[in-house]
Amino acid sequence: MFSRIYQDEQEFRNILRGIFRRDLVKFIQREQVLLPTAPDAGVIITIDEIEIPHLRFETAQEALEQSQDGKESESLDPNGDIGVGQGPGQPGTDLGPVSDKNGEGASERSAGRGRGKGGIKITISQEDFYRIFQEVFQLPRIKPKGEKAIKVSSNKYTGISRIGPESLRHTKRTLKQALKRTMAEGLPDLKNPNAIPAIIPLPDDKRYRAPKPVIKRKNNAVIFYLMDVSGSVTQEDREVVRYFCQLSEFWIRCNYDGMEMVWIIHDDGADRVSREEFFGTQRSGGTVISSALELMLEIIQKEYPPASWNIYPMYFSDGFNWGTDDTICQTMIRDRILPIVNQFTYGEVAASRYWWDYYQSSESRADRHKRFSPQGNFGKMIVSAFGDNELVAATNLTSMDRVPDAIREVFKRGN
Amino acid sequence: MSTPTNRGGRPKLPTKLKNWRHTIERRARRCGLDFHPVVFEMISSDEMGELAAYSGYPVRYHHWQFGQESLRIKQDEDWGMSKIYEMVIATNPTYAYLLESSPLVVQKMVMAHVFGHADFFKNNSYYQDIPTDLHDRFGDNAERIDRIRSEYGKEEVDQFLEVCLSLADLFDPLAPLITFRPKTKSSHEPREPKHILPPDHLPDYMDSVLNPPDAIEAKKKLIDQEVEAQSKIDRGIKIPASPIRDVLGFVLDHAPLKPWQQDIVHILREEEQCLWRGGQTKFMNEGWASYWHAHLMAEDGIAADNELVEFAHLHSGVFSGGGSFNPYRLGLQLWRDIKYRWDTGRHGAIWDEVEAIEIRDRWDEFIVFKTFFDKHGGLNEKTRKDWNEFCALIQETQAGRGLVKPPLFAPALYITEWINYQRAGTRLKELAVKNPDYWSEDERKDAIEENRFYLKLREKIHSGSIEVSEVSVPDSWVEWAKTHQFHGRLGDGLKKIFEVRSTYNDVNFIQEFFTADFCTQERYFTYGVDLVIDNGNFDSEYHYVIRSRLYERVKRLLLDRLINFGRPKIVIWDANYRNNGELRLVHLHDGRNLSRREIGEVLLRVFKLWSKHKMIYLDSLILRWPKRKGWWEDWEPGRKDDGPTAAEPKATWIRWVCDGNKVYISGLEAIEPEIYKAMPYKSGVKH
Repeated sequence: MFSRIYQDEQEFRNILRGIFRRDLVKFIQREQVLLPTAPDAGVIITIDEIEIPHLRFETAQEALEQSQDGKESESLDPNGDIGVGQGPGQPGTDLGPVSDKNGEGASERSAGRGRGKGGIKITISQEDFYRIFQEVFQLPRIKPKGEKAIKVSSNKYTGISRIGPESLRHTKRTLKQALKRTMAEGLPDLKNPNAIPAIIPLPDDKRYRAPKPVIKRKNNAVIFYLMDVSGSVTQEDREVVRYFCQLSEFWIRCNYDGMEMVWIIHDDGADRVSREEFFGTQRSGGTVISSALELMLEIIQKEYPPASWNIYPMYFSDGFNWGTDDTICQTMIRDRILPIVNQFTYGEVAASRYWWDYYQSSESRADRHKRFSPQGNFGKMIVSAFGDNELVAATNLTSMDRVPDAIREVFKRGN
Repeated sequence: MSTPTNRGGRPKLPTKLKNWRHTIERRARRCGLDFHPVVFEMISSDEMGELAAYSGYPVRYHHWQFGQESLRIKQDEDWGMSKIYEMVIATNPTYAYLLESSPLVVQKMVMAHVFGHADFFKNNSYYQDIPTDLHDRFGDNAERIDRIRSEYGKEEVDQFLEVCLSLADLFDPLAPLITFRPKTKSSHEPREPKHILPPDHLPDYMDSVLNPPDAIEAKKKLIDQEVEAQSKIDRGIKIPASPIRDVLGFVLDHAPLKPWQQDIVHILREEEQCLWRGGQTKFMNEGWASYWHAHLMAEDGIAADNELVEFAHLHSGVFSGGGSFNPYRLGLQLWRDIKYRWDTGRHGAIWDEVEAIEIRDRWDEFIVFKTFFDKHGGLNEKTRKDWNEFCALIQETQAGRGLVKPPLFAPALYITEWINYQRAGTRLKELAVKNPDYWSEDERKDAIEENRFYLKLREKIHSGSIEVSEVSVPDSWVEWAKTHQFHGRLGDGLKKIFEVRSTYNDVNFIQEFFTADFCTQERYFTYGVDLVIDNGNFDSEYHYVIRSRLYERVKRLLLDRLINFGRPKIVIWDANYRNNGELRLVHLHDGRNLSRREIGEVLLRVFKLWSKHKMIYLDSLILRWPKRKGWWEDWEPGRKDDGPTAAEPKATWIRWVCDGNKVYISGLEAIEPEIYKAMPYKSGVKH
């Protein structure tokens, strides 16, 4: 039976397409875009329900938002009631934060037509999302480095072989071979039809179709994610990094035929880890950035020859470094990394105030305080040394709000 | 074409369910439910989702909002957050849709639920003016709009539809009740202020004492104004004559619309009003259906013994509170409360005003005593005799010789037992003749058995073979019985709830039956928002906080959301504003501010609908309170925390003006006295 609602759903999806274009940046800032991990799964975007505009009362949420921007007055009665609940508790009992969307606390689904607003999760295909993503961020297509395109062979049945299964027998070539052999054995008397011998292929005459390797050019990329996991990088910072990684991964994956990822964490020594460990490890050691870069170069040399791979190192840190290490890193990046990579990306996360306070006040401060460069220094170094270098992108990842801009800054050159 | 019956032509009910359907229907009728024929259909969950998206009607006009709703329903179902087991529509015959895949116990419960709804549809007075062929009408409307689309272009029609939908909720709840009187031209006789003539002749100078010139002058002015206003109305300069709330209706009459546009406006207005009229009894209707499904399943034994646990699970799933407010639960609880109160006489002044502990705590006994007291006109021999009989019944039952066995026999059952005991004779007679179809042989046998048991017990008590230790009657009982009237009869709960279901809607239902006792017992509260300090990172944050358990405040909020559907009252004040054909809307502010987020968009839409070149105005009030502070701000050691002080809001006039491209906000110094008079919110407003 043809379902009437199908047409309405389609109509709604069309409207959504426009909304994604308009609000994609906002959705990314609020982490409402969930990128797939499987290659053919869809992208899930959580949208707020679209409502037909009506003249209606101000909700408590709206009133609070209004009053938060530093005005002297607010439009919500400070002692007024906003809803009815049922259950235990005395006047004054705290029912949970207003901003907490998940633990709905005392909030409720209101009666009548005005339902409580929940999000709707919409799934769209990766291709569609790619198109919208590109359009919104105005990103150029990445141009893979020509000479680095590596060759991949695949088989096509264009060859001929003397052995093979009967099902692949090439009849025409077999008969041709048999004819050649017969001819070679002696020219028959062509005027006497009876003398023309039957052409019977012998096992030796049989020819078979055979696979022949075809060389195809294919672009592969590898992303090196490097991160400082010393005490100064907090869990919230990592959430921002994780989200940025997902998005950059998606964009690079869409631009290459194949992609691999390497995860490296470091404090004063570096380790190659899994994705889970990358985002889940916290250490309390110092910070030596060059150790991670060194490990990366080692891995590149062993597993990802620069001639056949497009290499994307991405480094995230709060910019603290062991005082003397900055210059080492600078030479390393300039002399050994930039010549072989497509782009070196540096993302600076917010520095943890608590860690810095703790560090400042710790007892061993006297002998330590000269060892660490001040926060943000690594970023400044990158900008001053490579600011005009086409192959280096530096960006801020201080909060979720920064993520869309960071994406734009990192991929705007199409490297 | 659009009747619900042609949905795929599937078999209506499997035999097993059909048998149950008849059993349930029979018992529902026996309980007194009265409904139009009910047609059950089995549909798949996809079809159910579609129906629910169209708010129960199989065919609606095409619009993306239904698509969104459908996707949301599917998603909720995929995540196991909610599942729709049935849809019923208020037609005659009543169509009910069941979910194919439900297990038997669910189907039984849902069918019982459906009969509850069907009874409500047929009997509640607020359903009476809703056409019973609404599904047909909606289907016709859908087809009409589809045809308009194909004739005038999808793009244009959709845009217009969108505009109308934004305004469709600005209807007048009373519109169906208003009858428009034919316009009579007012008489043009000149009016003069009333001149008082002295009964006797008085000197001329006394005239100015009896009729002070300035008073006469003021009166004259007033009359002139009235005459002027009336003549404006007569000459068509003042439109509308009095403020109108039915915006789409007004637009239909006065805006320069093409015929197809009029069609659409008309359709949307009609649909919105029908949906609204169904919605004004939502709490009651859902509560009623739930009351009866619970009654039929559990007390009437529709659920088999091994299904009871699953039924209880399902039922509690629907009615769980979980700290938040659930309107269905409120409805169900209220119905039960009403039945209980009218069964046990807990209503009227005699209950409300009682303060003595020995009456309140032993109310069930007292009220039985009171009925004897009334029957025999005071405390006399006959009263004592009846009282003894009552005590004997209680005593026997407590001793395990009654119908209800001791562990279950609580004071709450005294009255029910007493009534059953008393009415056993009449019930036996009824069983012999009344509505024999509603009883199966077994059930009738059981019922007869039960009543005979009471009769036997009665004989035993009357014969005096039982030693009765009389319960003494406290003096305060007699005093209270003397001074207070008891209206009604005990055991009238059922009669009362049937009466209420016929004549009430949600607003007066809550207004009358949401009592202080109920509020305390069901632990309702109101909550607000406070600034608190978060111990985690020492930031101040807004939190929901329980404000009060006062039933007046809870009730106020419940009513606020029910009255006018919790929507602001917007009127068309003047459609010829500044004598220039400009449209002026006024929001009648009742203490709740308008949301400023969508006003711009709505006004632009009004502009498109109204004239396309005349300004649109919307006037309202904005209330603002001093910004709240956390208790820790300007806190000093030793300061006593005496709680937040009630702050008076500052009220300012605000005006939105739309010129078709943009919407501007401006203030207003003051407003006309007539508007001020119509505005429900007054304190501190300049006018």
